[in-house]
Amino acid sequence: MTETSNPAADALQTKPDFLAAILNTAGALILVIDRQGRIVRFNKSCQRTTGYSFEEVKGRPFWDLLIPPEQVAVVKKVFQNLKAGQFPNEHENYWLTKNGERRLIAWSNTALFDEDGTVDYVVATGLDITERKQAEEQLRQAHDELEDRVAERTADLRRHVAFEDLITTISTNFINLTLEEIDQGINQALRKVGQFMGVDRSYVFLFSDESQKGGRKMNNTHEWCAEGIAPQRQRMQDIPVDTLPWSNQILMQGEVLHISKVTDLPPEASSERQEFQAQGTQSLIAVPMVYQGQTMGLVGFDAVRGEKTWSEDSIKLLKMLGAIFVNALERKRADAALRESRRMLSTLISNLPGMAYRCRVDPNWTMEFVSEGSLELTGYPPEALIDNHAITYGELIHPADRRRVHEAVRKALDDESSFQVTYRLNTPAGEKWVWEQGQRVHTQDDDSTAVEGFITDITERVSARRNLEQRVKERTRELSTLLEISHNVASTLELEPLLGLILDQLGAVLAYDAASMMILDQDRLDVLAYRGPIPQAEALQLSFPVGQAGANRTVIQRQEPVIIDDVRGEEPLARALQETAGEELYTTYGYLRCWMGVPLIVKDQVVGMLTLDHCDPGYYSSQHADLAMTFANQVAVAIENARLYQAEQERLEESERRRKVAEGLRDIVSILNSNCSLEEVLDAIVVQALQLLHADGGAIYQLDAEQEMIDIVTTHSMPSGFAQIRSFPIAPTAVNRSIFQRRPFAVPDFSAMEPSTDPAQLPSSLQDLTTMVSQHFRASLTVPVVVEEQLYGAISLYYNQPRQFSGEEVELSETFAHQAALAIANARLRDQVEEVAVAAERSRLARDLHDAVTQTLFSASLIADVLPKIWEVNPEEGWQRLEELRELTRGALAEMRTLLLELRPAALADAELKELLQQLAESVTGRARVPVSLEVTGDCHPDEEVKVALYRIAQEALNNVAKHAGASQAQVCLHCGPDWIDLCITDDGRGFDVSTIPPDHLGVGIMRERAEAIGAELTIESEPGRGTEVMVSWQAS
Amino acid sequence: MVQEQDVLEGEGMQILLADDQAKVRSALRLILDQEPGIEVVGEAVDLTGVLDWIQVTRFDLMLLDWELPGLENDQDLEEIYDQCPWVEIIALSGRPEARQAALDAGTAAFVSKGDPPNRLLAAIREVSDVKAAHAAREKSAPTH
Repeated sequence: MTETSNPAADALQTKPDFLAAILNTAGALILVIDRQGRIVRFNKSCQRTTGYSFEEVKGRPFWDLLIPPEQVAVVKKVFQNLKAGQFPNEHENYWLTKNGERRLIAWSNTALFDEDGTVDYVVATGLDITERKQAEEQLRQAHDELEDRVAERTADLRRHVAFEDLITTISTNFINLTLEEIDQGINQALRKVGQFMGVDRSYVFLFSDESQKGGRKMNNTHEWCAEGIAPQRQRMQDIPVDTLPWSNQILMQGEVLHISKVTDLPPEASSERQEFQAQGTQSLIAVPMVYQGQTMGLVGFDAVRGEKTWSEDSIKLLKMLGAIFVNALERKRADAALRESRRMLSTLISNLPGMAYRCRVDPNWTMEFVSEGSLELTGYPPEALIDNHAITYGELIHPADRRRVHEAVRKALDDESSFQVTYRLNTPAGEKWVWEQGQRVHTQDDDSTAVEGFITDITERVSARRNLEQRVKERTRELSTLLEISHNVASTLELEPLLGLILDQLGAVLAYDAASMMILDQDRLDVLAYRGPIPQAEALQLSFPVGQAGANRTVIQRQEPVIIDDVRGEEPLARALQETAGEELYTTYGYLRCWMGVPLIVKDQVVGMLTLDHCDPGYYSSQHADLAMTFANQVAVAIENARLYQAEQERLEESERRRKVAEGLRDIVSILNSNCSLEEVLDAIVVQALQLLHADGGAIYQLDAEQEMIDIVTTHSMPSGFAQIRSFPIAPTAVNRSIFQRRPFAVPDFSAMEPSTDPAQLPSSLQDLTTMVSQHFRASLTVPVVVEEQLYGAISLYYNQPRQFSGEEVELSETFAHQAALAIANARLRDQVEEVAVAAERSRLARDLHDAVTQTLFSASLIADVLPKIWEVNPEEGWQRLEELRELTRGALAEMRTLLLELRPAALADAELKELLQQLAESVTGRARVPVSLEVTGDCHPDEEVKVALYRIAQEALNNVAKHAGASQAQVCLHCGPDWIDLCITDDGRGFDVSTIPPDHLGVGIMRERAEAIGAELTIESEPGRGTEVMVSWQAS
Repeated sequence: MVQEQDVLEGEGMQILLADDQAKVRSALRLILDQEPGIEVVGEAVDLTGVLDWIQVTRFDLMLLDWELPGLENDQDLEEIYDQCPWVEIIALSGRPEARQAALDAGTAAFVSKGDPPNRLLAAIREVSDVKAAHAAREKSAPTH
């Protein structure tokens, strides 16, 4: 019947790789169905996955149970038209489990054909990929989200930079515009900004004076409309501001009017809603045009064809646009005023911010007439200047500008034209920029040359322009730095180098003498990156408790930047800082005067802080804080990214570490079960312990209580000369005290440890040893090794660096001590088996027991071997198996104890009968997994002969229970009187027919002999199926 | 029944475990479950159990505890071979000295319980390869 030329085998052979891969994982589903779709074969994995047993599904079409209802029709149809060409194939589909759950299975199908090529059977091999799919999906989503966020951020930034560019261009243009070109410039700017923002209408309104008749009015002076949008300018002239009271009040207060949805306007804004709706506006924004603290008008933008909102950044830029407009308009207005005042010179002279003059053309510019404005402009009243009474005008001119002024005037006199010149004046109030216009005048006596003209203060305009230029430059630098950081954040996942990089880049736009990034770790702030005068290595060790540092705490609590103008000053936060830093504020932190702390916020949680130190008191302003906050937001994104990355790395490391622990235990168990010598086994244990606990050196010590010495049994990676010491006296050190109490002893840092004994009082060999250890190592962990409940010695692990020991590490080191104890017990056993010439009976028992130990160790070694693999696939099962492994090794120890008793008869003589029976019961419980209980009444102290005989009988009877009875439980009873003892051993096993049992079978002969030797009576009662009872009654003769 | 077995032939090694100790069987099953191409089809605790399994299931290989209760002499082993001549047996024992006796009795391999686990897996793989070679030879002369 052997089917060798098998089509299935052939078909399966065609995909060996796939098959191997599938079967590699423990959970491959294998389903065989006949051509009617009936299930023929349904392996364990199928049963596990679906919850159906084979019996439940056998012979039933698989779509009846396993296919979701909506797919049944399709699947059935496929089956009605099965063709050879369809195989082999692969697909994914859902299965319904018995409890209605859906599992996604990846199938690989092949078919078996009869001679004429009809499909006989379909063999489907599947993998449950539900979790994998879900995990993939989640991972993909997380990745997409991150990508989107980066893209969004970058797009936002780009758009913002473009907008800034636009505003900068407009601003530059305006500086160069002549007065006549200003209106056109405004119209153009409205169009450009309107188009950039994609709005439908942009406009400027100017408010008139309140003093005007009929109250304050508003006029639409400039307007741009997108194509197809109705202009409003004609209509919006001389509109009393009270017509739109709600919105105008906001603007008058210098605030921005931002309406995302006109329909959502509050009831008090009903006039506005009516007006805006009449214009077809859905959303709008209007920024006030403020000049010298007063709202002069507004710049507004309407969205008609859709709704729109404006970001904070855009609003800031729009405000800037308003400022550009209002400055230009004011310039124009001032100019108009100037022209008017030319007509009314006298008014002009007394009213204009400037100085009218008449002077002679000499090096002193000797004044003949000076208007009242001179006091404000030059700081000197007219009489001080006239005829150089107190000072000459020439002296007031900035020395660097004197020659230029002179040349400009000279040239104009030669050309008979007027001159204009801009230059600096040194006045008592400081340097001022002035603009002068003048021309030659002909007086009555034609000989002298005089110049008349007007000088006005343009400092504000010049510095405004300079500020603007400076600001534009700064913003450009900030933005390009931000872009660079944004790029770094997206591409660098390691936190520390990135944070350092960001501090460097921050330095390009925001001056500091020292800067640091700190991460909040529970209640401490740890410095992760630092730039400044403190040496890097030192700075990176710094860590501040949040509770003690008032300034830091304030930043974290407020979740906003905090500036301390002068840390040596009197304000409360400066005081707090002085308290925290103490003297160091003048030494280590001597460079620090102005301090700024900025929170790093991720999802509304403060995760750290950025601090900036400057040596000038009062250096940092709120603009600096805004800028630093923008950087801090980028840093927060970096931290979030890095944390995700770190968590993933840690997860990988953790699983790698567990795998290593499992592998280490496997190696030890296999060495234990081999025929290596004790020294080799202990050496291997130390090597494994070093690797798995990352120690730099290790040793096993043995206690020699008789000699009051400690012997060094084995060492690894210890300083040379260490092993030569061989042994040293027991001294009352802390570690010894702990080990004698059988407790582990950890020293996280030698240098922080107070010696419990004066080192000078220690014996010299111990001094040498201590010196060697403390010169090479900084920390240690010592765990006791206990063999057969006797303290054998200890394992010590040594570390080059100070460290804390986790509970898990201590537990793991104890496992190693446990393994060492096992090895030592095993070695003693072997020695004794070899040394002691045992009697035949004892040797049989010993062999049985040794067999039991071998079985247990064999099972343990199999589990240990496969543990690392299981761990990779399923850590939870790994832990479970590890527990099983521990139980097995514990069991092996108990068995060994009983075995030792067999090999050392003296121990039998010394022990109490009750204890011997207790141990026997435990050993059988562990060996055969049959719970054995013990009941003792009365005082039992028989002489040795009786005791040994009773022990042997109980042992033989329990041996039968373990090997033959198939019992679920057993009991040992010992009742003692003053001169009698009853012992009985009962079980609930299968029993036997007492009459047919040969006298020497089941050790019955041995038991009888033992009983007879002490004059006791032995009875055995048993019936098939009703358990067995062995009773011994002894009476003192 | 027969068809089902045919279908699955070539899928991998089907193994019966025979050992009286539950912890040993459980550990063996655990390690074999991790091996691709191996399926543990059943467990027997004594010779009677082994013979019962032979009646109801087909398997390629038996891991046999050489101290299995009921297994008294070579005749017991012959009885197994009589009933299923295709089965290969790997003897397992806690006593390394039993090796020669086991091999003499016709088992394909002997593994001491003191050996490291990979010795057992190597023996299974070796037996499996030899079987596959046999099967390939027989294939050229189909009996169908």
